[in-house]
This record gives sequence, C-alpha cells and structure tokens, in this order.
Amino acid sequence: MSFRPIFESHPWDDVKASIYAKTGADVERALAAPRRTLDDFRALISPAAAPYLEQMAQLSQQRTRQRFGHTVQLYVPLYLSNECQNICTYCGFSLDNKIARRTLSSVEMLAEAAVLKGWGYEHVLLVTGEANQTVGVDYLEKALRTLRPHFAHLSMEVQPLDQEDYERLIPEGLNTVLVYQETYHQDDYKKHHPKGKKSNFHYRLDTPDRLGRAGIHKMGLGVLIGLEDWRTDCFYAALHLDYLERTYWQTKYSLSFPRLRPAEGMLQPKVEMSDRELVQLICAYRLLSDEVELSLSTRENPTFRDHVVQLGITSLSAGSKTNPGGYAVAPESLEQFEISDERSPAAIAAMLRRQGLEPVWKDWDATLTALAR
Amino acid sequence: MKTQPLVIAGRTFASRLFTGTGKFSSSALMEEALLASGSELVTVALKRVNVADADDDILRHLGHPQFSLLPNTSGVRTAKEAVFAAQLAREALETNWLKLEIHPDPKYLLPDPVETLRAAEELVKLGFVVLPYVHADPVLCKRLEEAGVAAVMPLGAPIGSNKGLLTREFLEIIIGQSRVPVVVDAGLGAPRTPPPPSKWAPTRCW
Ligand code: SF4
Repeated sequence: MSFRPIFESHPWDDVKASIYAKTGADVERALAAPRRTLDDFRALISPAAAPYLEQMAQLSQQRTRQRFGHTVQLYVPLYLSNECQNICTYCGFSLDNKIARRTLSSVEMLAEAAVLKGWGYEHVLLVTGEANQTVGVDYLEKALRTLRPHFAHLSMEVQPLDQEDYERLIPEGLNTVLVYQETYHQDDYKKHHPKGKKSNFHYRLDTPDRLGRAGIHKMGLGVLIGLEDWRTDCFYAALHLDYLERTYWQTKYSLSFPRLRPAEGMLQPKVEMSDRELVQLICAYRLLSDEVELSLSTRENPTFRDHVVQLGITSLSAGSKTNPGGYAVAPESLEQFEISDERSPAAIAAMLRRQGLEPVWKDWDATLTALAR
Repeated sequence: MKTQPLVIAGRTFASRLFTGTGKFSSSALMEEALLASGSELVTVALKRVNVADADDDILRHLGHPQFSLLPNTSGVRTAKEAVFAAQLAREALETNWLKLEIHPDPKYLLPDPVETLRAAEELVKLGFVVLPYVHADPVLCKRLEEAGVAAVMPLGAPIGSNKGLLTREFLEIIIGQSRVPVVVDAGLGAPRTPPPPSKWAPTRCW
C-alpha cells in the first residue's frame, strides 16, 4: 500500500484545471460546510476565494483557538551539516556551490545545544544535507544520542531514509520527521533536482509511507512554494495528508508552506506567492482540518509573522540560524537560506504574549519517547 | 458548580468542576481563572511541565493549597506506556491520583477502550487512584468500575469540539447504573452548553 496509485490517479493538469474552475458559489458552499472535503479545499485555495479572505481568516482563527487554545509552540532548527551530494537549484548547500563544508562533531553539537537550552528551547529540529559518507544513519544516530538528554523533543529534516533506518532512529529519540516533497510536479521536480539521490521523485514521494510503517510519532509535509503553481502543489500536499491520516492513523501531522528565499546560486522563483495568497493557503488548510499543526519558519518577515500567528499557525521557529555551527561554533559561515525574521526567541515570546498567546516551550517529554523503545 | 459534596476515593470535593491547564493564553490567567472557578482538582499533562525545574511556569502557578493536581497520561498510546508514565507522574508530582488517558489516535484524541481497561487493572493493583477517560460506553464503565477505578470520565463530545452533551443518552445509562462518580469529560465547551438534567446534579459530577 502506498500513496502512489492515488497520486497517479490525479493528473496535474486536471487538478490544476479543477482548482481554477471553482466559482464564488463553490467557495460559499465550502465555507458553509460543517466538515470540508478535498473538493471544498480546491475551492478555498482557488482564485475565486480571494474575496472571501476575511471570512476565511475569522473562521480559521476560531477553529484554531478552539482546538489548540491560546498557545503557540516554539521550536528551533539546529543545522548539523551542510555537506550535500545533491544539486538542488534553490539551495545554498547544493553540491555545485563552492562553499566551505562543515559537519558538527558531538562536542560542537553540545556547544550549539547549550545556546539553545539557554534560550529556553526544548523542541529542536535537527537538519543536515544529504551526504551518506559523512551524515548517514550512523551520524544521525550519534546526534540523537548526544542531544537527547538535553531536549524534550527531537525532530529531523534530513534525507529520506529506508524504513529500517527510521525504525533504528525512533528508539534513539527521534520523534518527528519533516520531509517535504518540494513539488509534486514530476517534470519540474526533475529540473530542480538534476543530480544526486534526491533526483528520485518516487523514493521521496514514498517516504511518508515508510515513516508511517516505521511508526513515527509525527511527520511534517509540505511543498516549496515558488517552484510550481502553488495552488496545485498544495492540493497534492492536502491529498497526501488525507491519505496518510487514513492509513497511519496513529501518527500526528504538520504542514509547512515555505516560500522560496534567496540563496547563493539559486534560481528565482518561477511563481510568486503574495502575502494575501499565503494567508489564504494557511486558512484553507485550517478549514480543511481542525487538527493538523501548521508551522511557520523565520523565512517569513516579522510583520507577516506577527499577523498570521493569530490566523491558524500552531508552531513558530525563532532565533534560527541555517548554517551548521551558527549559534556558537561558526556564526559567520554561509547560511542555507537567508532568514527574514531575526528577532530573538525572547522577543518572539514577548510578541506572542502581547497578542494574548502563550508561548509553549515544552509539549512533550523525553520519557514518552523512551517508552517507544 | 457547588451542590452536595462529591466524594472520590474517600476524598470530599466541594466543587464538582474539574479544570484543565493546557489552553490558556498565559499561566497567570490560568491561575486567576482556576482560582475564580473554585475548582479543586486540576489536570496537568506531564508532557507540558518540566518537573526537574523548581520554577516551572505552569506548576509555579498551581501552588495553591486548594488545588490538588491530577496528572494525566496524555501522549501515551498503550497500557504499558500508561503504567510507566503513571509511575513517573507519581514520583514527580507526589500524588497517586491519575487521570488515565490512552489515545493512540493523535487527531481526535479518542480513548482506546482495550488499552484503558488493561492499564486500569494494572494501575489499581499498583495503588493508584485511577480516573479513566473513556467513551460514553456503559459496559466499559462497568468493567472499569469492577477493576477498581475511583471514578469514570466518559466524554460528552470529541475533545475540543465544544459540542456539549452529544452522548447524553449513554451518559444517562452510565450514571443510572454506576457505583462510582461519573465525571463528564471532554467536548463540553463554553457555559452556553445546556445544563445537564436536574436529576444529575445532586448525585453526580459532570
Ligand atoms: S535542499 Fe537539501 S538536499 Fe538539496 S542541496 Fe540543499 S541540503 Fe542538499
């Protein structure tokens, strides 16, 4: 069983045409529905929904507060390595970029961790490029063992792995894996990932299935907005989520919607998504699912983040550095992408409090992960 | 809600309202609201607090003599995990009272009846005062009562749905035949929810 047959039964051009054919009446029907379907979601992300943004935002805010309360989870990325054997047209760590490469040792990881602990973090996202010689499964296992005693919750955003690898890492403290498809448009995917293991579209597409079978506690999906028509791509992310929720019902899910940011040697986004459109997408995801977590990174600028944090977002990163060693060991090295919100975690927490939201630093306990052993 | 006292496991509560701690916009507001509510039993998710930190923000605001803490096992997925988490909670929060929550489904947070019954049997043997969160299933509630739980906590509606007493018919059956207090948990929503039938009030908590 996998997502592939469902994916293949939804040709890109048909999906795109169906979204752009939606009318105001479809949007109104979707807004009035007690539980929304994927077809309602098409209407909510369509151009026809633009005039309904205010109504969508109010509903989205209300659904989010009811389900998640007046809280926002805080997390931070910890880049462990910028080694990468892949060429990705949009990434500063791409193999064809001549940058100094660095992989953190255990001692360096602990130095970085100490800074994050000092800021109050308990939820940390470990990030690496894809280089099996240096940052393969053994390295990831070592990283989890090193960092686990210091944090309540560890997530990973690294190369897709085999099911057995996930099964090996979960008992070491791996709680959540983020794996974004980048784009569900196969030809475009090939164009943006011309070399390296990442060029295998289907291996990546099957990754959430492998994670689900391995029994991961939470997984994060998303597309990189800017590579292709965002409405169509985000429909596929929703379709994928729908399949996964039905199949791996014991797993929790989160969605992200990173907009392409400038990076060294990168292509310009093919498709620009405006702020209003991103708000529309966030609200549409919330109206599709009361329960899914919606996450926003420091790629977005402070003004935008301050506004949308009320409209459906449930987790935020803050104080992020996207270079290995960026917090303590090598603050000047090249970042994966430029961040837009450079405020400190304390400043973000204060902003949330001013808006009547409680910053949540801890919503998991390492003992719960230990139980999975 | 103050009517005749509620007694659970030999302990008398003047208030029949149990409160949670997870969704407030600040710990100070939580403290204020809980004090104003008169609630004496306050649930705390182990995963949200840092028991190693004497200055933990949530626990710091719950240090009033009128509050007893009711740790919950939110986050566990099996009976085995629940028993382990219960022991940790007992040690960390120094209480053998436990809200037993086992929801392998992280989306709707619906309780697993099979694992809950298994865990309750084990925890009662280990000396816990067990208050299990369950579906409004009259047979399950009787089985839990036979296992020795101190109260049952059937849901009124899915967690966080604010739908009120959707399971009313089943709750009536549970209340009608229960020998332990029945605490209606989850999904009740805001005070606009219609009040329960008056016959519930004198004898049962909700
Ligand atoms: S996006 Fe990931 S896989 Fe691609 S070049 Fe960057 S680090 Fe490597």
